[in-house]
Amino acid sequence: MAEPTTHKTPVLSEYDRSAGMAPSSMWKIIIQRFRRHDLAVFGFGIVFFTLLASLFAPWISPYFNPDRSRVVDDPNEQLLAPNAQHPLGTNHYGADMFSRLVWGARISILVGFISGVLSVGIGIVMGALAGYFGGITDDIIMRIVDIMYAIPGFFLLVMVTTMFADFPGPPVLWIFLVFGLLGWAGIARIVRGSFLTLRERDFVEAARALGASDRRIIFKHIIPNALSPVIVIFTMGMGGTIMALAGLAFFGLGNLQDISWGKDLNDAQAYFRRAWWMSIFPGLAIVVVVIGFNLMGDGLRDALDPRLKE
Amino acid sequence: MTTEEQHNREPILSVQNIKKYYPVKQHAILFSRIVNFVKAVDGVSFDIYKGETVGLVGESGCGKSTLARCLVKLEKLNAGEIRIEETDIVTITKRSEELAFRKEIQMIFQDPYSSLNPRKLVLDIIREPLDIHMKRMPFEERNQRVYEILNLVGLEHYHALRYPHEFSGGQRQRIGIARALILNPKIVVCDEPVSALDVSVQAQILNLLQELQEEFDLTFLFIAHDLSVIKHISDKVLVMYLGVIVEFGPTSEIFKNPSHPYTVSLLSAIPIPNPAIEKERIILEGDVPSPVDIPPGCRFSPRCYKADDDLCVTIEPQLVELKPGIFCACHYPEKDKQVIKY
Repeated sequence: MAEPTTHKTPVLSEYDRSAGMAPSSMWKIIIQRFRRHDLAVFGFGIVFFTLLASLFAPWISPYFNPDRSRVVDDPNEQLLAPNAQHPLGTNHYGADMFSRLVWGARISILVGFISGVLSVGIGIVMGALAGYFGGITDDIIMRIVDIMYAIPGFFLLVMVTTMFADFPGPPVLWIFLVFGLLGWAGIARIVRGSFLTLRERDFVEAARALGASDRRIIFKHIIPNALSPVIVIFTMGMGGTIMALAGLAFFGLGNLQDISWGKDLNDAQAYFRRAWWMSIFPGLAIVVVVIGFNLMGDGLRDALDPRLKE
Repeated sequence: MTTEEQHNREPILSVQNIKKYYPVKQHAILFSRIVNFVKAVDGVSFDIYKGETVGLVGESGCGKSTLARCLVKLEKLNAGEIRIEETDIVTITKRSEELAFRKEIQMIFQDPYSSLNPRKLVLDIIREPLDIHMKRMPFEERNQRVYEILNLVGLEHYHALRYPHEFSGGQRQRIGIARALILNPKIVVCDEPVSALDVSVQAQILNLLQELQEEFDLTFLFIAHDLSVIKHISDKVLVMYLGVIVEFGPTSEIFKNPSHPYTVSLLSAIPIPNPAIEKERIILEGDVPSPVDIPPGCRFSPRCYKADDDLCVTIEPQLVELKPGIFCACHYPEKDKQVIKY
C-alpha cells in the first residue's frame, strides 16, 4: 500500500501547515473512522488482549513446565474449584485451567492467522487472475470455486484430519493447510468481483493508456482498491476458523496433542455437573474471542468503505 | 491555415478505415456463440495535422468514445490502420515500440471522479507516466517535474501531497490534464473532458487546454456532444453518426453552411439565448437505430428529412470532398443552408 511517509517529499512551508494543508493519509482517515466506532474498538481490544496472551503465554501461565512444553498436571489437585492458587480451577488431571486457557489462545490465534493468510493469499491470486484476464482462465478458476463451495466444509475437515492423523509432522500443520485450502474460494470470488468492476474504471484505463504493464496495473492500481473487503473477510474468518477448530477438537478430532479450547470443552463433558468451571471458561473464551473478531470486522468494513465519507 | 498548406504537409495522425465490432454473444448451457456484432466504429478515416484541434461530435452511442479508445489502443481494432507520423500503431507488438507510441498520444478522460486512483497521492498519480517511461530519471527530478506541471495546470505545490477525494471536479480534471501532459505528448485525445463539470468550470478548463496547446504545440482530438464547446475550441469538426463520419471540415464553414442533413439538424438544436435570432428547428423522428442492425443504404435515411427515394435506402453514400476541405457523406447534400441566421 502506498505509504505517503516513505516518499521523500519537499518540506511544507509553515504557511501550508498552519492552513491545515499537511497530507492526511487515507489510512489516517480510516483509523479515525474506526476509532469512532465504539463496539469495533471494544472488539479490537479483545483481539489485542488475546494476541498478547498468546504471544506471552509462557510468561503469563503460572503452571507451565518448560521442559515438557505443557501445563503441569498435579494429581493432588484434581478438579479444584476456582480459588486463590487456581483462579479458574483445575481439570481432571489437576492442570491449572487459567494456564490452559492462555495456551489455548496461542493455538487458536496461530491456526486462525496462518490459515487465514494462506487462504487470503491463494484467494487473491486466483481471484485476480480470474477477474483480470477473464475468458477461459476465469471459467476454469470459477468452476473450481463452485466445486469448493459444493463440498461441505466441516465434513471434509473431519475427514481430512482423521485421514492425515498418522502423517508425519505435527498435526497442527495439517490443520493449517486444510483450513487454508478450504477458505480461499470465498475470497477468490470477492476479489474477482472487485477486479471485474475495477478493471473497467477509468483510472485503470488511464494507467493502460500510459503504457503501464499488467503487473503494475494489478499490483499498484487494482489490488490496493480491492483489499478492503478482503481485510474484513480475513478478520471475520479468523473468528470462524477459531470456532471450527474448537468444534473439531470438541468432537475429539484433529488429533490435537496441543492444548486447545475445544479439547478442554471435550474433556469437560464428563465432569459437566461436578466441575462447571471446566466447561464455562473455555466456552466463554471461544465466544468472547469470536465476538471480538466479528465486531472488529464490522468496524473495519464501515471504516474501509470509501463511499462513507466523514 | 489554408487547405493548400495542409496538403503539402504530412498528417500527424492518420486514421484509415478503422472498424471496431463488439460481438453479441448468446449464452447456451456450456458454451456461448456469437450471434451478431455491435458495429461501434464502422469504417472511419480522417487525417489530423500538427497543431490542429479537431472536434468530434455526435449523439450518445454513435461511437465517439470507442473511436477515442481505439486511437490510444485501449481497444483492439477489427480492421484498419492508425498512423502517428510514420508508425503504424496497430501492428506494434514490441514493448519498447508500444511505450514509444504511448508517449506520443495521451488521453484526458471524461469523468474526473473515476479517472484518478483514490488510493494514490496526486504526486504519485502525476508521476506515474514518468515512472513508466523514464525509469532512469532520478526520483527527485521526477518529483520536480510533477511540481512544475502542477503549476502549469493551475494547481499549487502542496496539492501534490493530497488525495483525489480532497479536490473539486475542476481541480481533478486539472490533475488528469497534468498526468496526460507530463510526458510531453504530441497528440492528446480529450474524451468529453468538460461534460462532467459545472458550466463556469468548463470555461476555465477549456481555456487552460487552449493555453497548454499553445505552450506545448499540442494537437487535440476533442470529443464533445456540446456543440458550443466544439465551436469554441476546435479548428475542424468531424460529425459522426452510427459509427461513420458523415461530415468533416473547418468549424467555421460547417457551422455556417452545414451540408449533411444530420449536421443541419444537430446545429438546429443549439439553444440560442436570443429571441431576436430566427432559427429553423429540425426535430429528428425516432431514435438512433441500433448499431447491431444498421439500416441499409444511408444510415441516416430512416430519420432524414431529405431521404425519399430508392438511392438513399439502397446505396450507402461515401465521404466525398464537396468543396475544398469539406467532406460529406450524403447523396443530396444541402447547399448554402443556413441554420442559424444572424
